[in-house]
Amino acid sequence: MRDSSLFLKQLLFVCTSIIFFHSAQADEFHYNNILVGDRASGLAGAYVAVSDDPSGLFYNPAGVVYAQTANISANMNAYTYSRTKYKSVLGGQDWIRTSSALVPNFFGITQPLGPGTLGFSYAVTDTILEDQDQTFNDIPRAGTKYTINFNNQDATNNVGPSYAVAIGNKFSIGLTLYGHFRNQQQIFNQSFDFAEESPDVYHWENTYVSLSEKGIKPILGMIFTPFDKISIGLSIQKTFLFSSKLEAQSSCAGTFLTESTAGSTCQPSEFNRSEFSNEEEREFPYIINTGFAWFATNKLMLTWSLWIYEPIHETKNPLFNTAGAIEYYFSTSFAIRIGGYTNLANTPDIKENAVNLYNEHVDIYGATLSFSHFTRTSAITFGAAGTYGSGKAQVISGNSLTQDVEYQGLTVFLSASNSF
Amino acid sequence: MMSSEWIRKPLRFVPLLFILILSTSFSQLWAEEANFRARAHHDLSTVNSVEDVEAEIKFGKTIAARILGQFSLYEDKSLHHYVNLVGNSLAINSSRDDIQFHFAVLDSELINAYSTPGGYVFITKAAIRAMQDESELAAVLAHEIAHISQKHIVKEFKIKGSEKSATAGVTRLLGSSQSSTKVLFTKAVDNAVKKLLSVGFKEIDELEADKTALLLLASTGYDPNSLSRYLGRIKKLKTSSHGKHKPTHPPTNTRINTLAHIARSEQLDNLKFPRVAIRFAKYSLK
Repeated sequence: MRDSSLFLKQLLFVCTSIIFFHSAQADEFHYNNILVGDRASGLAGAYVAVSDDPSGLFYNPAGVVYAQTANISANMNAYTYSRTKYKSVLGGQDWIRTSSALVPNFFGITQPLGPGTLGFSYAVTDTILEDQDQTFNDIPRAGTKYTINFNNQDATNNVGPSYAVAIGNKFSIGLTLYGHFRNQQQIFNQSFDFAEESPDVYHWENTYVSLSEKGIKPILGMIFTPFDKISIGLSIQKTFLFSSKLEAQSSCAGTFLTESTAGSTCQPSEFNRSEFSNEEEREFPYIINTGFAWFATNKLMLTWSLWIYEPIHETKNPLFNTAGAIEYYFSTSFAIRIGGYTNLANTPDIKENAVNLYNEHVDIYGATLSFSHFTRTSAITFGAAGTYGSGKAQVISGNSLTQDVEYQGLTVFLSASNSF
Repeated sequence: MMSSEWIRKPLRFVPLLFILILSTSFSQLWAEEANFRARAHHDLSTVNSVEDVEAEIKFGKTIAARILGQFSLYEDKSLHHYVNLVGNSLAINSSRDDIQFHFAVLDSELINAYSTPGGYVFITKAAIRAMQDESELAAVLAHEIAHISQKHIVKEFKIKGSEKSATAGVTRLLGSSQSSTKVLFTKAVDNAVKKLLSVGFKEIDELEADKTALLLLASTGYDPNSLSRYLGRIKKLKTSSHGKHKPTHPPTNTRINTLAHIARSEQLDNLKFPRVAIRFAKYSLK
């Protein structure tokens, strides 16, 4: 019985920490979670110096003045899947989280207006849709059952206008003013049952979390053409929140606990309910995106980008991500794009034998491949981005135990664009 | 709290960078733009299709309706018939055998002529009144036909037809904003009407239309010098009675000098083709 008590306490720590872990996961620990736009996705996001179609409104609005046709619209739908394995979390068993979602990733339209080019775009910069039903058996002894029912929907959308002008034929400048909207809803239901205990020992807990963020995200961009066939791009952006509201409700009941566990308000043998809210606005970093593109011929283009992020999450040094890609046309109707990129964690390294404030550090690397088929006024692009990452996590909050983490992701996208 | 010092230091150099870039840009302001960004698939857009011609006709017809909303037709059926005969005899020799040309006389005291994509040509009665022979009428009509055959408006407003290919069908299925086409079409018509009636064509387009008209006159059998002759006459008329109107063409002297140069280089300056003054006199306006 005593052993069981210790294990239950540990398990509740796990459960409680899982909730917080989920709340802070995904976009907050990485920046390049979803590539935006058809051509840009195929080029692994190395688009700051290219940017000459509607997805440029997201990467560098200055580039849309170089669009080859006057009016363009583009639309991209993406299916994203991710699998994160936390090794040896529960009684030596792995905890696997998966997320999959089919989302309209991007829509953008540009058209000349006055001396410049006007644009309007919508981008889903991050999305998570987890719907998990997992049961862990025999932890730590035969008959013990721990069940998780978990649903987590978290999406960040950017929508807004852009305007760009060319100053001479060597330089252009543009501004996108995105509204930033993030909505998260999370329902976490968990129960465990020691079947062999008598009297019956159980614990049940349900948590609902709702998070809503509203803000603006201006992106100032410029493109400079110092030499023939060379383009240099630079953009600066930062998200400013003007409202943030986190609401949480937790209900629990159980028969076993003899004392309240840290972070839990559950008391034995009674139904407990609690609410929590927070309106603290999280701070976003300044992000500088720069790079160059070499338009070697009308069939071959090479591009490279670098992102520099202001340090957050108690890190001292700026974070860097990079991407590089090649675009090649087999003919006037078919093109292939191949790229690679990094999506490094913005959290400090997980320290062994210590309690870490930020409980995950997983560096992710991705590769992209896309094919486009062109007609006179239309283009269809089919592509995929595969990602892999590994690192450390500390799933049990308040505990110095660490776990190895393995991450795999796949995004498949289909997009269409029209010029008219 | 985030440490912002790392970004503030490099940001100090941003204004300097801007000044450097802007100064470089302005120094290159008039340099020829190298379109190295165009990708291989953009070559496809230069190919004309049946859908493009249909879109051009629809676009031009809409502009023509707008013009007729501002000017009345001159009520003289025989004159309209005559202008159409002359115009179509020229149009046969143009490069646009894929469209039907229509010619009409506007009841206006402005000396001018207009053409819209798809083959719609308008000439004012004041312009005809200022003419002395059929070759001058042919010269003005040839100039307007040239704007159509060279697709000046079509190119400027990038008028293209909707594709009926499988790829285009899929893009529509994926919702790539075909609905916005109507809005853009209306806006393009507005801009094209403004261009025709107020702003005028680009100088390079006007001079190209003059050159094409010269060749068209010669190939149809009219006096190639008729355009220069007519331009010289209306220059005086416009200066005296229509000086307040905003010019929609390049300076007349420039046009006449350029025409003379082209006529010499194409060896058209000594051709003695007919002016057809007697037939024209039957329809001349008082």
